[in-house]
Amino acid sequence: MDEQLQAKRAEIVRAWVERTVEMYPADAAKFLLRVNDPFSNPVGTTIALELEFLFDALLRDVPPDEVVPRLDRVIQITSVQDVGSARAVSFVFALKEVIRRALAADRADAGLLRRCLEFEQRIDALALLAFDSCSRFLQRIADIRVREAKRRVWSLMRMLKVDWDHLPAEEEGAGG
Amino acid sequence: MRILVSLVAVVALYLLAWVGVGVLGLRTLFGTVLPYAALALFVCGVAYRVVRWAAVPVPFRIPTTCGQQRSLEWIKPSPLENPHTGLQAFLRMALEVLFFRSLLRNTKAEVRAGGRLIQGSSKWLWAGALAFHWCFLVVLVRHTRFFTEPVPWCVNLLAHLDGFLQVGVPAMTLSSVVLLGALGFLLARRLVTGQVRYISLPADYFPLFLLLSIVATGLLLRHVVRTDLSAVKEVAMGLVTFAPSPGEGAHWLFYVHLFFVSVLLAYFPFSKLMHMGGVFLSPTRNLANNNRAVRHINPWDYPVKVHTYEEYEGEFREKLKTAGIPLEKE
Amino acid sequence: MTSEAKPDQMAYYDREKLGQVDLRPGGADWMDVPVNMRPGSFIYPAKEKHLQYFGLPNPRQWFPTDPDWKLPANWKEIIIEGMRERLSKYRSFQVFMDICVRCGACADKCHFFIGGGDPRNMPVLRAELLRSIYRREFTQAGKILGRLAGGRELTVDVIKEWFYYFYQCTECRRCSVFCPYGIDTAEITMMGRELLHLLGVNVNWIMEPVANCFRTGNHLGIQPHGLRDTLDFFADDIEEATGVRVEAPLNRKGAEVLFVTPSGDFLADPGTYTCMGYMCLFHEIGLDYTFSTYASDGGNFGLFTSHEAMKRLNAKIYAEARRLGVKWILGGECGHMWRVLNQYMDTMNGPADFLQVPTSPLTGTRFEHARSTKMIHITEFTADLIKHGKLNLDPSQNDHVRVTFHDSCNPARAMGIFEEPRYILRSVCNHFHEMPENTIREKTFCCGGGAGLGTDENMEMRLRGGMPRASAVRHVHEKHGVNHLAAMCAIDRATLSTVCEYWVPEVRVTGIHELVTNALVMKGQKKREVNLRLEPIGAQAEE
Repeated sequence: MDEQLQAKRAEIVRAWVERTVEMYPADAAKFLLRVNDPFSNPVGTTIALELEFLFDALLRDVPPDEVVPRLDRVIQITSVQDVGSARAVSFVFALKEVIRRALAADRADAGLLRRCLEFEQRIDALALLAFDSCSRFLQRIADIRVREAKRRVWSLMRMLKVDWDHLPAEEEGAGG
Repeated sequence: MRILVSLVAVVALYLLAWVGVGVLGLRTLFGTVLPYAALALFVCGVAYRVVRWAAVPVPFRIPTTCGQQRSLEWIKPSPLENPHTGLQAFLRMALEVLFFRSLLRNTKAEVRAGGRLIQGSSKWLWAGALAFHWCFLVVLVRHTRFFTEPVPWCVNLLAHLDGFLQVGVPAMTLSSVVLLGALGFLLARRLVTGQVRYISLPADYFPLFLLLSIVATGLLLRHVVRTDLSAVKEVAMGLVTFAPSPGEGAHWLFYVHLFFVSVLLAYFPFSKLMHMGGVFLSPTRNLANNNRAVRHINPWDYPVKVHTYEEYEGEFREKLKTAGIPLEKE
Repeated sequence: MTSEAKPDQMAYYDREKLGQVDLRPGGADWMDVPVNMRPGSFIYPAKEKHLQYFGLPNPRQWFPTDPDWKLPANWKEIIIEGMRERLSKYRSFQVFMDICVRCGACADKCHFFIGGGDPRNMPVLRAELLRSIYRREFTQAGKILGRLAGGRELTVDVIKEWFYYFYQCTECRRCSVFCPYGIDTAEITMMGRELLHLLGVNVNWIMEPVANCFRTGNHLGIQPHGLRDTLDFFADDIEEATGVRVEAPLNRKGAEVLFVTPSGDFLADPGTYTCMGYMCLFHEIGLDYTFSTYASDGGNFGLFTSHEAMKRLNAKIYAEARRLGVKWILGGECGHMWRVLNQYMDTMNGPADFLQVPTSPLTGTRFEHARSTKMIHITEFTADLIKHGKLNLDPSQNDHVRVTFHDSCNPARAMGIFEEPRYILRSVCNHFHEMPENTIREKTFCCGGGAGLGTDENMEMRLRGGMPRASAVRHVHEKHGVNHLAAMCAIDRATLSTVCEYWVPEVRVTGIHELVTNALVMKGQKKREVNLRLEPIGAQAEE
């Protein structure tokens, strides 16, 4: 199975990226797919780069702690597109159909469907990580809202000796 | 749809001229009346548009600055990107008009496999636009040989240089070939690039089709039909000396060519092609960024309702006093 | 699904039988697609009391998702007349309506399009929203040919579309840099918003600050005693950090210099540290200056409202300089404030013939380039001080800081102040790294919250819009370990903090003069162990 997928890697990744940018309007999708500049087109290039990594990770069965940071980069983008959390993670599920289509030509192979289903279990595991990641980013947005409101009246709060330790703490890593 | 409409319009114009001259033989109409009318429309129309633009005031000086300002002595300013004087603004405009400076800015970085960053650029639009405009100018200047007697030496020289490739008889001119190629590129870009196609209007396709038709008929006349040049010159000289000649010897396709040019001239003042004149009047480009050194006057400035200090102190007197802040009136 | 096969059969997925996903641009003309108001992308309407206080038309209760926006009965007439008036008063507007060739050079230059992908956020299309009406109502071709000439009917839906998209533009002018004719979307957006104001269609995040600013002199509505307390409080913090007691004079007549800064610096973290930075610097060099409670904001949300509102709010600066009898004016770190000061103030409220050409009392440098406006930027002032060796700086106090510099849109593209801040940063920090070339200087990316968009109901949109900037920040963070982003704009300091928290939480935002003061060796200071944020500094702070 892995060899079959490995052989069609480029095709699968490309199709997966195309399916992922579908959440954007069609003309934007075109731009996202074509402009290969990480600063002029950070969305498209990030999605392309990270999905490629994620697909390889699925093939190699990479442990979650390596996968999550890369998955995060995609979810971080899809979480702020105002499309809802279902669509923000839907790209993971799209991979199933992409793979089945890519392998459709080999359908004479009797064991293929079973092996496909086995591989899809890995995709399901990735989907669970994606849910986690998405809810983490939605929470981050909520926290950011609070912290921004807090920053806006910072000097006032301090002058009034307000204790705000109960407000969401800065995330780990923040503050260098 | 937008494309089809434009294409149909140009084909209709072609048929009109073909029937008019090829079938009905209306040489005077297509060779004299319409060109004069078109030229009159062009001159008056362009003048009207430019005068109208110029009549609108520029209330504020709002250049877009693209380089270091002039400030401290030891900091090197970029006069061409951020002009401080009128002359510098003129030079900035010259770069813009002659070399399309802003389009040249399309630099971008690319990531190659392995995440290595490569600085590259996307200058196709710049190259295509520049090639089109310059070649169009060269072709235009070459055409003055039909309107002048004797032909100025510089025009002859230009025509000679233009045909240096020595392909075909008469020699294929480089400018026409590049012009055709550039127009093809600009059209293809509109059709193929998703974003550009999305924003394009019939008013964008029509001039492209029209220009392509002009160049195509011109090339056909020179290389395929090989129309009688003396007859063409007779018509052209007749037009400039106000002694119109029907030019009986010229091929009917010549009148199609002339008709397309007439349409272009007549269409010009009412279209986006007026960017030719407008670019000189763009307040973000043609002004110096010296607002802090030289006061700009707004001709229609009017007084507005403000909140005066007296009103302010009146409202906050007690609070100012409590905070120990000096007052005008105790 | 025309296939006979079921999803559990491989044949179901045969590409021959299933149409591939069509990614070509939709066949529909954008003019036919009505605006889809997505929560998270629009800003809440202005409250009635603010419009009433400032004297703007049609105050009422309404909401963007309401079918009826309660426009005046003759709204169409108002818009057409409003356009006619502006076309005859602003050459920029008239010319920009006429000369666009839709070459597409600007299409992928807008941060909102790059990060969010809505095609109507392509600058050319944002302008076409107005241009289509202009053609239909003001050109012969449009009147006769209508749609064929690119014209369209003015309807209530068009007004809704304008509201949605003219408040998704930060007036950053990046697209204008790439336009061969210099067509400036900021100018288009300003006109679009002026027209909307005629109908009472506006947003609270702008109108509340405008009303506040008119009354109290600053956007936040800080009253005089509040400002006194704030500055005294800053002085306490400075004393704790440095051991030096500084003064912050208010409304002091006869001072040499009036200092004006955005009010965000008085209240919002991390701008407050920048304000403390100014106070320390002025104390150290013994500048004879004063703050003002009446002119307590250089920022001007009038710029995001209308030219008239801008003039009304800006008038206080020269008025106060005249009343206090100062010689010249110094301006703090702010973005749109400097667009107003550099490109509008002198024309609107000048001439400032009662002031003198700004001259540094320490170096004697005459700032000739500001000889008419009589107002200079604080980085011009400080760069000159450093160049003449007037400051005792110890950049190692900033050794835990690896900084990059974000060119704020307005100082970059409406002034061209690139080298002064960089010179200062290199003088006060040992670790300074530039972001990639096409994301800085005149090509700098907006923070996504300028032009009155920095509120929280449109947070998702701001985060999308901030992504191009954040990508470049992340790049230098990964490559050089950058942990600070310096910006000389109050809106940047507020909104980029948020953008960084989402995209690059390892990087925090700081002002230039915060870093200056953290490197400044002050006379009579105690051993510096903490910075203005009261955090450990220098090598000991490095992890």
